[in-house]
Amino acid sequence: MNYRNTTSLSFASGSQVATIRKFSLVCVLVLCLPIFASAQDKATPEIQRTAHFSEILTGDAPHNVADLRSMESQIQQTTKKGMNATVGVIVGPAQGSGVIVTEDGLILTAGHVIGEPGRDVTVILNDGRRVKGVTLGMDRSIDSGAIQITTPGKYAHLNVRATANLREGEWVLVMGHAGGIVKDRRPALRIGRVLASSQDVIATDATLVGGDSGGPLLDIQGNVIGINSRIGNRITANLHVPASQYLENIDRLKKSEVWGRLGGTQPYLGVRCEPDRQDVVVTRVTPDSPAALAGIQEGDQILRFNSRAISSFDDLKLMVNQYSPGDRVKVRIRRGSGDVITLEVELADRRKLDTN
Amino acid sequence: MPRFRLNSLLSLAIVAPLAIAVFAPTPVSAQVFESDGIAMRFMKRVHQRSSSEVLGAFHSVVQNVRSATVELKRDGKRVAMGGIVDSTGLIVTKGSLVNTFGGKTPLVAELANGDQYLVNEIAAVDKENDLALVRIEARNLPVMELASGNKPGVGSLLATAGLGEEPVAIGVYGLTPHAVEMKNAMLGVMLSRDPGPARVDMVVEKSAAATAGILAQDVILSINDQLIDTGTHLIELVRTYEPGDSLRVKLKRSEEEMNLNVILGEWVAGPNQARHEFQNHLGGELSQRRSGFPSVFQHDSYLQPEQCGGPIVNLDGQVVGLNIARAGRVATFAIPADDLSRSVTKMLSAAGATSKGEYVQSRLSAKPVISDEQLDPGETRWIPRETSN
Repeated sequence: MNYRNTTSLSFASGSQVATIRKFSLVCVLVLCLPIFASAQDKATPEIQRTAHFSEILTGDAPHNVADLRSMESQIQQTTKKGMNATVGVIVGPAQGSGVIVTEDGLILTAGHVIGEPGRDVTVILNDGRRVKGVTLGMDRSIDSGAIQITTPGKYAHLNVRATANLREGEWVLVMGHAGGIVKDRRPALRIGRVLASSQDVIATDATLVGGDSGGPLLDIQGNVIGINSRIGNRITANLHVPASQYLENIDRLKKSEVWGRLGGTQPYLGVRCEPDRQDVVVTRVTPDSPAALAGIQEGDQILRFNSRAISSFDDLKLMVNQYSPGDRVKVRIRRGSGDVITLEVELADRRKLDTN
Repeated sequence: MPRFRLNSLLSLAIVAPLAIAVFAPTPVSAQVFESDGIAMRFMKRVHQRSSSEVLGAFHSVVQNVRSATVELKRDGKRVAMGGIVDSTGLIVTKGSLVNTFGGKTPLVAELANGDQYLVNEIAAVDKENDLALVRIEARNLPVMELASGNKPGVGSLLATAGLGEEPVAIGVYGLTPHAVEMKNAMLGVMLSRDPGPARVDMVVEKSAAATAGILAQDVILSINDQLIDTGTHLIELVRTYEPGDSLRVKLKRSEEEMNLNVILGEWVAGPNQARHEFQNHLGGELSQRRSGFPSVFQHDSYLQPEQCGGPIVNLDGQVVGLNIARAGRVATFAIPADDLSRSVTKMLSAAGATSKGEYVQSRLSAKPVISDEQLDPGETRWIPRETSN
């Protein structure tokens, strides 16, 4: 208990310093309203904290109106800070949300919002300004993704918190362009609590809907703890990618790496080989399969799969499984004639084939 | 319950959903998590934002307003919430929930102290805001007081009062007041292309027509006593109504004539909107009339459609708005106190005029004025009126 108290207190003071710094930053950004912004800075009221408040910060329920008032002022302060770093993103025909986490404009978002690396993005800042960006990497298995703003500038941003110590019951805020981006409308705020969390996913009862994807899940102090990803039938089934996944893989995301297999899919090549032979020689090509379409023939020996040497059929199956349907893969083969050629194969989804 | 067990369940369950809707069109949506049933069952209710512990903290917040809150019921079933605006028995509520053809079942208003009153009439209707005043015979009722000045802002905590000690729902103020454009109304029938009377070829699943019980091959004869000659005529007539409007449809089903009550739904245009609507419906029913408001603020309280129409308060217990629609998975709309106050003032004067025998001219004269021709003795009289703007 003692330990809990001290941690939450140090959290609190830290975030207050951060808030003040962020407000001065906002003053720079909101050029047309500098006086207004600084006036707000001074007017930000001290949060009256009840004795029970530190327990509320770590996931307890409020007991009375005094607790609720403490929560309310904390939520309002966090909302101001959070909204300034929450952005709308337009990637091709898709709209979603995102959150800025570095001063130079690194945006965390959902993998399914960006689709693939290297795409142009229009980023809509909270003050309505539009800046350019480009999509970076993604982990398809958990739906994480990132965008870099390419228009130079200093952007309001939030801290990212490691989520290993996230507690069930913790109060959270969600922001995002629910229902799509509407001109002059800010992202909508919602609150909820953490219902479950694991390494791969956080479930809360802060409600999400289309357009929220990529928006931030914040703890009550304004740290990013997750990114909005998907929903279920129940009102309590709102799922977010944990922030730790971004912290641990930030370099891969920045390098525009794409990894992880899309959940619920079965990548499919369409060849059969003799399992026990040393050489991986194709004994059957399924008609109309990706392999057949790419021109792989019976009798071909498979040498490499995207530059990885293949030494057994199991090895090949394992490699195929690392990719997702739609991925284009270079397959190096040796024909019966002795020619070594490289073919490009676009993997399909076995499940879709079954239903056709 | 050990944490890891829940987590391993969740990570198993997550495999299915990602596939479903990956490179989605506008707006990118949260994908659907189909197997949530398994994982969600293990989530503890005690950790939800509306756990009884949290709702308990709001007891004193709704203490005053609940005495001025009513539940409007038909056949013992709640159809709407309402708020008392006049101590002699005028209650403001969501118009489209009460301004319906209720058949012979009377509308009853129940108060927090358990008193029940028969609703005499719908005294006034503000179609634009979807508000209505209903009248009960009573005296010295507590009246809800609207907050003036001291406006809530994004991040304010809100509670929706019910008749009990606990609020019906709690939530946070999420978006400042804005206008919501009116969507087109939809009946949900495909008509035969043959010339002649309006014959139904097909009924759209889950549409207003399907709910009301219209069947394929029915011939629609009239709508609110306006005779229908042709299919085109029917289409034109439906266009003059709005989602949430109540219609009395007279139809012929193999030589037999019958009347059905229909509440119009919202038109869904195109696959993108259909997709969004599908997601919006995940998690619960939505109000029939959830668009076409001059000014509403959005909050995230989780309400059933029939829990709309009642007051919503801030932490000071002041009424900051009236819940007017469950509008989506993440949104409940409320009419801000100022706009509510203006509308109620208008409706009160309209209701006063009604009692003097004057007729309030409807602003939208093509819209329904509902009244059953034959009233049994003691049956409620339905004379909805609209305020003139």
